[in-house]
Amino acid sequence: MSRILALLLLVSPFLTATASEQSSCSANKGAFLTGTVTSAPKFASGSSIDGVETSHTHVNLKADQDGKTYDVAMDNVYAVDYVKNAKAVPNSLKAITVGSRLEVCGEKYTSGVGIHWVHSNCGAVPTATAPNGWVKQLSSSGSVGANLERSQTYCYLWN
Amino acid sequence: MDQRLSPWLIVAGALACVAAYYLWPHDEPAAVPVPEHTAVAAASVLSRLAAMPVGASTASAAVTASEPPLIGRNGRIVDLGGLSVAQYVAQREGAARLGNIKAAYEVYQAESLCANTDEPLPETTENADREQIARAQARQRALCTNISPSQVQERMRYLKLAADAGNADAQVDYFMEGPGGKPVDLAANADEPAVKQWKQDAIGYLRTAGAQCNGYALSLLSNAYDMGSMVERDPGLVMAYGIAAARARGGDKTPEQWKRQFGEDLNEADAAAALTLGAQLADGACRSAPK
Repeated sequence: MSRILALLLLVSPFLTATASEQSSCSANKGAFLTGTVTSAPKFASGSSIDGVETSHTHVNLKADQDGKTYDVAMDNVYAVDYVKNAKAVPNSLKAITVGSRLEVCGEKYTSGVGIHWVHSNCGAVPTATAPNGWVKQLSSSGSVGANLERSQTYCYLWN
Repeated sequence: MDQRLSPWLIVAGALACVAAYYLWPHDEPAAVPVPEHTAVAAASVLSRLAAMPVGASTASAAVTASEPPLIGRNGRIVDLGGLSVAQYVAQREGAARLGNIKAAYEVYQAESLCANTDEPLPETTENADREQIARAQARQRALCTNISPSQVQERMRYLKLAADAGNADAQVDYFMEGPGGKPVDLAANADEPAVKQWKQDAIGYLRTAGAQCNGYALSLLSNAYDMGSMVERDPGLVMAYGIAAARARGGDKTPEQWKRQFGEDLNEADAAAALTLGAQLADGACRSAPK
């Protein structure tokens, strides 16, 4: 009994943090996933808007919620260290490694298993098709990192 | 009417219309809060096009089929006008050496094309994408024939010349290039004198460019205060420079919208202070900026 109590005490901060994050994601109209990264970040070229390439970085995430493996599409322009038009994964996203834990809030693909719009929505009122999303790394202790997709530098492309 | 006169009358009429257009007073677009549904709708379509699941037909369509533009190490598109880098530089280097700032910046721009031709190819989601990046890199390498490594290194001297002369684009590029124009891990090399000097110069240049109402420089300052690798992290300045950047680009929002966009980490008082500072930065920079 005492072991169970100790275990509960150990995991309760983590569960509380996750519940709070999930509720924050719902308030921001996003779909919430946590899971383990199963593939290293890969670059994908994108179209150009006003001379700025909207490339992406993809990782696979095995979700805790349903056990499915999601393609997570992260917009490079929302990474704080994005270098305009660079054909490379930004360093902050390169830091996502296989086996690490990730938390994402965004919009699930309507076709296929994946999630995108895992980034800030530039201060607009969030909707289900344009949530105020994020990508955060989870440490082994359960602490939640900063949103890796929070830069507002290129919001002007859409505003 | 004399039929021979009519073409002249048409030309005169057209010229009068053009003159009237330019002489007629045009109102500057008013800064009004952005209708959020419009921004979101536009962003929604574009993001969907760009982030479709790997293998979907639109994802391949997003990769331009035509010859991609030439991109310098600073992220800018460079137009060599059909010349090789060596030919382009040869036309301008004399003037650049004599201190012509425009020529110096153009020489820098062209040589910056040759600074990223050996970057390792990224791991991509699609092989076709990687092949296209490799082709673009090979094309850029070919255009850089007869440009020596010392010329590639020398570009940073021309860049600094232009930045010191007040060219806001050059000041932004100095930041984009990184210490010595090479990729450097700022955290791991924080104590290197060259890195320390670059941080100080780059932030100074961004502030100078920002003071000229350069929205890009202001938003990069916002990022710099967010990352905390060049200057100490400061959420208030993240918000203030972010607001100043948006206002420099003609955007305006309600205090609530600004707070939602930038003020996640701030309490009410700090957000209000950042809001005031952001407005002051934009007003100070953009009122005095040369038109």
